[in-house]
Amino acid sequence: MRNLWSILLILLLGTTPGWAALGQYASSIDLDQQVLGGERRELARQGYTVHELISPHGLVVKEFVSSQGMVFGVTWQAPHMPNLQQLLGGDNMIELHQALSSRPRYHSGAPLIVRTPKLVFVSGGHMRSFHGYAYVPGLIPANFPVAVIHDTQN
Amino acid sequence: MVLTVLMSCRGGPSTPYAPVYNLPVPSTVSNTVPVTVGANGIPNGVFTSVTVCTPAVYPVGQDPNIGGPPPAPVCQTINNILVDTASVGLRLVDNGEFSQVPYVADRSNHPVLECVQFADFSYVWGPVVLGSVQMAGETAAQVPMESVVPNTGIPIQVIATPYDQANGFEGGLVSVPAAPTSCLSSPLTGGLPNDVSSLQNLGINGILGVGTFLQDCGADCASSTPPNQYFVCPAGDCSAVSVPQNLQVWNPVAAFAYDNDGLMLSLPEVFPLNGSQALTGSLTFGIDTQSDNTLGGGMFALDAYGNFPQVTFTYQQPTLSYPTVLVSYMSPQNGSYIDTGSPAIYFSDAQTLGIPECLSASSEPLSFYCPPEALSGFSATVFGTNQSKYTFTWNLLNAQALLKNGNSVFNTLGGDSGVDASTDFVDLGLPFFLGRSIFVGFAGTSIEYPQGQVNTYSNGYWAF
Repeated sequence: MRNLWSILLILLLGTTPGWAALGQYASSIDLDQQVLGGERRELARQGYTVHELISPHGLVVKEFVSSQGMVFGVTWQAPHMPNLQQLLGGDNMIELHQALSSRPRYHSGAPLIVRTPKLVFVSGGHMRSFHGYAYVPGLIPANFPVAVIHDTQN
Repeated sequence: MVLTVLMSCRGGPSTPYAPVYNLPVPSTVSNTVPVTVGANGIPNGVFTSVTVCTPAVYPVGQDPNIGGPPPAPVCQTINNILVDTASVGLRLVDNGEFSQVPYVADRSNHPVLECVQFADFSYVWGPVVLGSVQMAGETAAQVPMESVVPNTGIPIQVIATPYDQANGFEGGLVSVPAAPTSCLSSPLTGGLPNDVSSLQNLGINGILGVGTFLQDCGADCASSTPPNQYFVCPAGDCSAVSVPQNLQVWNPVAAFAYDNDGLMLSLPEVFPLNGSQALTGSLTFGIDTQSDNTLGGGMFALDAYGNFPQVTFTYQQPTLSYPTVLVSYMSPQNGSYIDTGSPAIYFSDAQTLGIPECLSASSEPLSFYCPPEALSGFSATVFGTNQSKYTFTWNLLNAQALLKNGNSVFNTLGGDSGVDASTDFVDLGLPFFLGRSIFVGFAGTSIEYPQGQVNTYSNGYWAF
């Protein structure tokens, strides 16, 4: 049934460019799989779906999609920093840049944490093992336990 | 029991074979260098010096004495190099002193440039060159892989400066375009500072990455569909290129002729909660190769990600008989590790702990903790894949007060790792290293542990 809904969404919204970025409709997840060239699986949960994409380079991306078809959260885990421009989308990247522009910057191993009303973003790890997490607070489905976005059991 | 004995060159740990008892060969080479902590105005920063030389043997077509013998190696000693146990490879800010150093190139003689972005969005970009690296009496003269020609140097990254981008590196020998946006997970437009300017502003001349891996990338970057890390940029147009492991930026200590199976970092204890002035410690090369580097303490084999497979964090305030926070973090999504490149212990988050974060002058939270008074009761139990475990406890003081009190080495500096219990992890930064001798065992090396058993640790290990 969920696959049928995905197909219908794709047909309704037509072709979409690039990635199913955070805060956008999930209809382009099929294109994500083509871009990444990896495996994909969908895990149905109560009130949301997790689309997991695993690229040959070991990038594991999970996109959390509401029952309305919106990507409200994304997690990643990879040996290299992923292309966040693709995962987060232009608007969220601008939000991130604005939050970072006022911070003192120098290279350190510390994690990067940004919290604004529009975006929550965490990036940590080291060479060969980076991990991170981003969600749009306003898009989280009602009664969704935010902690689940990084649920390793998914 | 039949043991299969394979003929192998010394140190082929990156080739997939089954090494048997390739234990380190004892040496009497001088294997210790001093390190400073908290010097140069950088709190909790660990620094050392490195000597780099042009190699004795140049790649075909790059010998400056065309037709004649290669020039005698030209060396320079560079200080204020940050010691980083969570990255791999030597990266040096271009100080204008590099002359006639050969570069790694593809088959069309296009120089290879590398772009590496870290979790905090800082990045390094610049050409990959070949040189020998000397520290104490140790020398890395070539990559320890089969069929590598001796004395050709090891791959090192030069971090390009704005001058290099305008004029080319080494007098224009290697042109350096802007870092490709396909590498950076955040585009250059938007004004995120380039790492080189922040390094230069702080007086940091380079980064000595001595993590557990042998090269910074590994099989991925040597594959036919490499990630966006190594590039060639003909006519300023950069595209990702596949680079075999012997030409990737290499862990210098793993390429030493002797004492190359790991290292030991020994830093003094800091007793006062409000820190101390800059200190000195020592960095010793090799594990169980000399009388000064005998493996001690518990030994924690790492997972394939270079993390502890699990860390369990507990917060129990002294006035309570039960912990208010008890959570386990599993690798890799919540991978936890030790890291001299992190100035603090990063753990849990302000909301879970009920501890305030520091605020900047404009009232934006900074990711350090600023409790109004000293706190204790924090502990992390780390596990190895070999079932070893160890519990580390620490105290926390107000970070803003610490960083203004005139000291520069602190074991009570802490900060957020995430935003909630399911995104948190534990980054055991510099405070963990104080008062300990910590061993970093390289991937693929063999060591006798526990006593009487020799095992090969394919992902390396930490011991403390």
